[in-house]
Formats: sequence, structure tokens, C-alpha cells
Amino acid sequence: MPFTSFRFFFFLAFVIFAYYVVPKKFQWFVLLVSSYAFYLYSGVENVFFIVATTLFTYFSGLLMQSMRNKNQKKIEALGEDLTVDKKRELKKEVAKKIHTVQVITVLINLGTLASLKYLNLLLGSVNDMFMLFRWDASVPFVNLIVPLGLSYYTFNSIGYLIDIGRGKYAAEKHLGKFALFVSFFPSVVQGPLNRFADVGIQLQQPHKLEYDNLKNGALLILWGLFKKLVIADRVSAIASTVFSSSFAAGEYNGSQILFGVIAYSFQIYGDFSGGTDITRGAAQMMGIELPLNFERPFFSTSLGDFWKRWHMSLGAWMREYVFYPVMLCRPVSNLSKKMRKKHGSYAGKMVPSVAAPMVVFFLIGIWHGVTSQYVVNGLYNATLISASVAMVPVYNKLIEKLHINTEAFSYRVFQILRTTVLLFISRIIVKAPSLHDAGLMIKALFTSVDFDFLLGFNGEIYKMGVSQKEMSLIIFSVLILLVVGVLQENGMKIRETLAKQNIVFRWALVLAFVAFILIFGVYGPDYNSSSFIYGNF
Amino acid sequence: MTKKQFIRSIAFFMAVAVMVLALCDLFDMDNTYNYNQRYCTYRNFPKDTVDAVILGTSGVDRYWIPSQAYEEYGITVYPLSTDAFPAWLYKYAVDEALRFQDVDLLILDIRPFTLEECNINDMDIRARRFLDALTPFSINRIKGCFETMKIRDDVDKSASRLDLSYLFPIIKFHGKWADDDYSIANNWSSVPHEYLGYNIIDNATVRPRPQEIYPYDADYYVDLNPYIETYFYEFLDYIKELQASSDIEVLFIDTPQVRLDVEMGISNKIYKIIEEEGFECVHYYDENSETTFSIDLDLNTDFYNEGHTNFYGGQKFTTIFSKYLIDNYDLKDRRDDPKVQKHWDGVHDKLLNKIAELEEARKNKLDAAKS
Repeated sequence: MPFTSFRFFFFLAFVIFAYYVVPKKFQWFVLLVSSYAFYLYSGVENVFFIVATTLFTYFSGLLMQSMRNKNQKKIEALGEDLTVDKKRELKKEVAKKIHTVQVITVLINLGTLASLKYLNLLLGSVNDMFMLFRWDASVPFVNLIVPLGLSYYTFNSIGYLIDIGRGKYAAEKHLGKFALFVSFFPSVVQGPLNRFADVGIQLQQPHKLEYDNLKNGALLILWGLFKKLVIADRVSAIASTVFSSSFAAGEYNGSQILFGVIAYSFQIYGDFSGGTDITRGAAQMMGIELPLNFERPFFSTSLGDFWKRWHMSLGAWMREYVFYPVMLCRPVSNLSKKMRKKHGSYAGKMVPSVAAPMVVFFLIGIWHGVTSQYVVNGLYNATLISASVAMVPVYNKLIEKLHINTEAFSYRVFQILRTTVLLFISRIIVKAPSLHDAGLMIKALFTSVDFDFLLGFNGEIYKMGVSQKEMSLIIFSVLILLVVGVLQENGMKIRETLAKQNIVFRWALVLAFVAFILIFGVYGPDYNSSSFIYGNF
Repeated sequence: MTKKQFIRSIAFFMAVAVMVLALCDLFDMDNTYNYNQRYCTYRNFPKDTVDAVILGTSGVDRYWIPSQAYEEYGITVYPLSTDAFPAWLYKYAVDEALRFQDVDLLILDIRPFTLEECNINDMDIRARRFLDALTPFSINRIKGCFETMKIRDDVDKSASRLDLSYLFPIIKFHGKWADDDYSIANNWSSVPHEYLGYNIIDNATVRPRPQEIYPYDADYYVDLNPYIETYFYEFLDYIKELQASSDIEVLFIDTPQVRLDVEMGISNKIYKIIEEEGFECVHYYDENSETTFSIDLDLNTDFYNEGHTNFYGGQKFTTIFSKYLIDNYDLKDRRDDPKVQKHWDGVHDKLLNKIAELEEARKNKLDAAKS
């Protein structure tokens, strides 16, 4: 049930109605039933996996909790007879056992994810290798289904297990309420990734029918539809025109590739953030606040900053469950110490600063897919971010010597442009038909620029999958997106500002916006409105 | 949520609904032949000013020149047709006609029943032409939409059972804004038709295209398409019910065209069924005529294609059919009725001027081609 379909909005309206009509203590149950109904719609066979993950994670959480509780009871029973050392020893002992359970359960969850999602990709790569070495052999593919939202609910479950293992909060005792956390229908398809301590608790709490929640949620959904249907699905024609054929065919020059990558950047942002807005808006209408997933990534001043603004919930997840553990793990600490002894404190500091991003971005790369392009893109990001950390002293010296005012607007514009260029390269690595094509395209980006094309003087720009009228619409829509972004960057809260306006203006604006989406959106039976890109990850 | 907020929300949703309906009017099925305007004009007539309607397909609006019939005989017979709409929608077309006028006579074109095949994709476009010519909130439109969805589902299970684009055409046609020739004025349905529903297709209206003669055999019958036959009998039952509850008179008509043998066989079958069911059907085919037509229609000068007369053929047909109507039905001369005058007077002069303009343009074009 795509989030942009009328069916979804009928479903959502029905769920919201039922949610507020039933007694508050049953609201969570309405959500659970709705979530499973939503999930069942994607195919009965998919339900098996989400149920299995839910049960496995739920009982694993309870097991870890009971180990901790038993130990606590033991410590309390022994009371003052227990020495501090003995107490510490008991805690350590149980922590070790919990850790073992945690590692096993996390690995099982990851193993399920990897086998369902990546096994055939890996087998394909093995077959490619056979072909490369001209061996007359092939490994048969396995007939596997990839359940809807597999990555998202698996990551949510893993986060929960790690938090329980760390003792951050107690394991959820109610199976139904835990199942709701795993399957909550607005966010099960493409996130954002939720933390049990935040969203899991909110889902269990009763919510009153609040006008502001309904209104703000609906506005957020509208904004999401605008990004997805008007921008992403419209510019997708340009991106697929440029990136669908091999660059070796020589069809496009650097300017056309630049145009294509700009289009793709807006497509992927509009698609993913638009989908997240619909998700968050739907949840907000029921009084549930899901985490922010995007914070105007087009205004990022560095790649590091970009990853704090793009897919923020994945970034936060990686930071919490991968980045810090890698930074603080024994091998990295030992290596850091060795480096410090041999090459000084700067070198020692650099070890965790390089190792952690490398692992994180490698994982982010393969999270998107086990293809050489995603892996290379992950390493590209990791290398740049690690290098930027390592180069901080050099930058600082340079800035000091050249008397650069880093507070100036022009410096910020420079930073944004620099980041944009680096991101364009990253996008080309992923979107090009192959790594080889990506290399050629990146080279062309800097070597063959045709301003007549970019400025539309020779009319070639209208042969890239969109007509002149559509191009005008795209430019206008992107301007709306950027203007709103600038206002938000400057601290304006759009929905709050809108709420303060006179009712006539407010209604006229919202009605005009609804009409704009209805007329200019890409949807309906004569259009092939693409599915959400991140629904596939 | 406070009471005030609740009322505001309802008001807002109503505003959205009105806006969506307005947009549905602007973004609906292609209005090339001014179907929307034809229905709009009919809705705008004062009550009891139209005595008969001719319902049907292009076989109506290119044959019947209402302004001419009014000028010559004072009868108000309006062509409420859309291009080849599917047979299952006929009863809704009748209901829609009767919603706005208490007509004495219903004239029903048989062409919707003469199709050899019931191709759902062709039917889809034709259904939308009719449905989108009605106002979005017309109950007949809504019923017709659901009927069409049901039939689509019967024929093609892969089609969505609840296709909202029938009810809200903007879902299907919002992309029209990108068409080069799209204009709001052309798509707004509350614009009256200039020539009381007579269809002017620029050059074709005055262009003669010589047609070949196909002999007519009155005894040759071909079975109807099973789907269409079902709808046909359902429609006849519906008409019988209608007549049982009112004193409305019904006449079936088949406007003359150049037909191949299978097509003619189907029509013969329809004439036969109509008669068997106790209705009257007028057609203009004659086995003994050189042209196959029983009326004076010239195959060289009176048709713009095999299925339609041009303006000159239309003029001849209108005169002949008007006489038939006056001779057989109690249709009044309405030329002295001020309510009628307001809408019907002067239209025929305007039409003749337009025809003269088109002839001039055609002549210039021919001259240019010659030189």
C-alpha cells in the first residue's frame, strides 16, 4: 500500500478514526491491528518474518532482563555481607552472560537480514567472479522473499536488544505492545528508525484528540506529498534519462551529467524525505512524535554535517551502536596506544577517528546494497570524513594564515558548494550504470562543461525527459523547497508561523497548495509514480 | 478538540471538496467536441422549453441541426449526445435528460448497440466522455461511474475494482496542464454551446468526401455481441418501465451511414429486436435505392466520412426528420414562446455565418493547394 495512494489515505483516515473512538487503554491495540493489517496487505508470507523477529527479540529481551533481575535479587539477598569486590564481580559475571546473549541475538537478527537481503546479491557476485576467471561453474540463486521494511524493523529490534543488554531500560513485558513497536505501520516501510525508549513508550501511552496534532500532521503529509509527487517523481525522468545508459556510449557531456546529478539529488531527497514527512505526519495525527530524519541536507557545510542532516535516525543508530563501540573497543584502543607511543598523541587520536567512520560508512554502504558501487560510495564518504578530521590542524593553520573569516556568509556558501560537489560525486558513484561509468562521468563533470545547455539557450535541456512546461514547474517547485529551507535554517517554524496568520490567508494558502499537488503531482492511472526508493533498502 | 475547531475542520474539508469538484471540471476527459458545453446548454434551458431530445452518439450531433428544425418548424428537439458512449450508460443518459426537462418524446440513436466488439479500453474512453460531460455531483454520473467500474472489473480482473478516477477525473487527467493546447476556458463546463449542440468539426463540417456504395440487404442478420445484447435488452426493459410510469413517447432511430455487410447485419438485427419488443425504429435504408438510402443523400457531397454527414447532409436529414416528427408526434411550434426565443432565436443565423466562414477557409485552402 504505497503512501501516496488513495488507498493508504482511506486506511489512515479509518485508523485515526478508530484510534480516537476506542477507549484510550485500547488505542495501542488499534495501532497493532492496523499495523498488521497494513503489513498483511503486502503479502501474507511477509508476516512470518516480522512475527519471528518480534518473538525472538521479545524473548531475548526478557531473557537478558531476567538474568539482570536475578543477579540484582542475589545481590540484594546477600545484602551487607557482600563486599564491594564481590558485588562488582557478580555484576561483571552477569554482564558477561548478558553480553553473550546480546551478541548471539544481534547476530541472529543480522544473519536473517543478511541472508534474506544479500544472499542472492552475493551469489551473483560469486557467479560474476566465475565468469571473470572463465570458470565453467555457477552457483544457483535461492528463491527468497525480502519482507517489507526488513532492514527497518531488524535495526529497531537490534537497537532494542543492545539497549536492554546495556541496561538502559527494562525489557518490555507485554508482547502485544512490543509487537507494535516493531511493526508500527507508518514507519515500518522506510523508517525513521525508532528507539524503544522514545517511540515504543509513546505508542503505549493514551493520546487525546488534539486539533493541533491533526492539523500539523496533515500539513506535514501535504509537504511530503509535494516533495514526493511534485518534485521527486517529476525530476526522476531527467535522472533516468542521464543515468540509464552507459557513459561509454558518449551520449552526454559533463553539463548534462551535472544536470542529471542535480536532478537525482532532488529526486532522492524529495523521495526519501517526502516519504518520511508522510510517515511522521501520519504518526503525529495520532499524537505520536517520530524522530526527525532530515534537516535540510542541501545546506550542509561538510560531509560530516551532511550525515548529521541526512537519514538522521540511521546516523544516530550508527553512532550509538557502531561508531562509539568501535571507537572504544579494545583493538582500536590498543592500536591507538601503540600509535601514540610511536608517533605521538596526534597519531594516537587519529586511530579511532579513522577506524570508526570507516566501519560506519562501510556498513551504511552495504546497508543500501552489496554492490561494488555502494561499498565504494561508503568508503568514499568514510575516507573524506576521516581525512577531514585528520586535516583539522592543517585547515586551522591555513585559515589563520589566509585570514579567512569563517563566520562570513561567503565562507558558508563556499562550504555548502564544496559539500555539494563532493555529494554529487557520491551520487554519481551510486547512480551510474557501473563503477567504470561513474569514473568517466565524474571526469566529464570537470572537463566538458556546456553553459549553453545548462542555461537552456540551445534547447537541448528540454530533451532530457521533461518538457519546457515541466521544467518551469520543476524550477518553481525547487525554489519553494529551497526558500522554505532557508527560512527554516534561519529559525522560522513554518507551521507555527502559518498558524499565526489570518484564517482567510491560511486557508487560501493551504487550499492552493492542495490544488498545486493535485494538478502538478505525478500520480494516477496514467502515470507511473515510482515507489519509494528507500522502501527497497 | 474544541467545538469551534471541529466546525472549522468540517468547513475546511467542505472547501477542499468544492475545490476538488471544480478541479475535476477543469481536468476531465478531452472536451474536443464540446460535450460538456452541449450538456451545459441543456441544463441552462428553462423548464418545459424542450419537447424532445435525441440521445446517442456522433450519429446524432452531426446529423441533427436543432436550430434549423426550430427555424423551419418551430420544434425544440435537442441533440444530447456524446461520442459513441457505451451501451451500459444509456439508461443514465436518459435519466440525466429527464432530470432537467419534461420532454414528450425521447429519440434514441441505436449506434451504441451496433458495435461488433466490446473492447474495454475503447469503452473506457467513451464512458469517460459521457460521464465527464455531466456535472461532477450528478447522481446519474455517480451511478454510471460505479456501473463502469463494475463492468471493467467483470471484463478485466487486473483493473482496480474501485477506480476513483471515474468519480474524480482529475486523478486521471491532471497532467493535461502540460499539453500545449490546454486552456482553462475550453475545459470549463459551465460555458454554453454556441450552436445548440450541433457539432462543428471545422473543415470536416463542410468537407465532402465521396463514399462508395455498399448494397443493403434487409434480410441479412448478424448476432449482436453478447455483452452488448445483454445491455440492449436491459435498456429496453428500462424503457418499458419508464413508459409504464409516464406518458413519454419513445422512438428509436438509426441515422444513415455507409455500412459494410456485417455492420448492416447487426443493425438489421437491432431493428428486428426493437420491433419485436413493441417499439418503433426509423431508419433510412432501402434495398431498391441506388444509394442504399431511402432519402435524398448524395454519397459524393453529403458525407465527410463513411459514418457521418457533413453540414449539407445534416441539413437534408434535419428537414426530412423534422417532417417525420411533426407528422407523427405532437410537437408544438415554439417560435412564439418568449422562454424559448431567448435561447433559440438567432442561433441558426450564427451557425450559417460560421458555415460560410468555414467554406471560405476551405476555398482558400484549396486555392492555395492548387497554386
